[in-house]
Amino acid sequence: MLSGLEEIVPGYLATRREEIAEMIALLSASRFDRLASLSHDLKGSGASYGFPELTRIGSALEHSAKQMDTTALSLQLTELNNYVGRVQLFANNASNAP
Amino acid sequence: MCDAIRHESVNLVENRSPNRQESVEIEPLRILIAEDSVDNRKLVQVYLKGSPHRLIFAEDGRSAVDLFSAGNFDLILMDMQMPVMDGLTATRTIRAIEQERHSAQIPIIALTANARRQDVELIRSAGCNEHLSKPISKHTLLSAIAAYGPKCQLRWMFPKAGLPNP
Repeated sequence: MLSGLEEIVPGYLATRREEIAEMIALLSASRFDRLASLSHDLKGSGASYGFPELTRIGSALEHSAKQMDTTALSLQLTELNNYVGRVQLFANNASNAP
Repeated sequence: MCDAIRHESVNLVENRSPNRQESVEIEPLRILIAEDSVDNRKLVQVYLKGSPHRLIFAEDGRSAVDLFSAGNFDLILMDMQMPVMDGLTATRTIRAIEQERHSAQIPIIALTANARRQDVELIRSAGCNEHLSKPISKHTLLSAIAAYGPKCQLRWMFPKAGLPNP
């Protein structure tokens, strides 16, 4: 784990879970500007928190949002949801380990 | 520059080995951080935890300009994409205020997740001294602060670099 980040990573992941729900709603409402903005922030923060994959997905989402590519956005949001779910599961298992 | 803070030196005791202790004097900076993302604000706080620097946060460019106008700062970290007023506009506004006041330019370091050549040119032409590409590592941030702060800070951040005594 990156030094000093242990305290804020759980909150960061919890926020991502909530944000994914918001992003799905934004896609349904075709609010591409806000979607691009959230994706931009994800791109800019993921790797700093130790998750370069979030930066990669955020970059792809931002690009798709600017292109208003709903098909790509839908796939990328699913990928994001799956990734955050896996990380969360791993974190939960690690914290419950004896 | 805030003289009261400038002259308030802090002694850190650094343990290099069980048999050796060194006292390294560093100067605290007042750093204005314009950043709308809560996650990135927390990150900067963690990166600078344990440093003597005073961090003042603004959540948009307009607030950053207002805080700059009313306060004394040594350095600004400026996010580029923010609501209300973006970082480019805030930087241009701060440079205009300095010109009007005939005051020295404060170092402004841009923080951006868009670091294409044309973005960097815009950042520089707006008046930023430097830019850091997000995601930003702790080492990158500390190095940038050291580059625009007092030189003696290098001794605190890179104690094993063998820097000469001031």
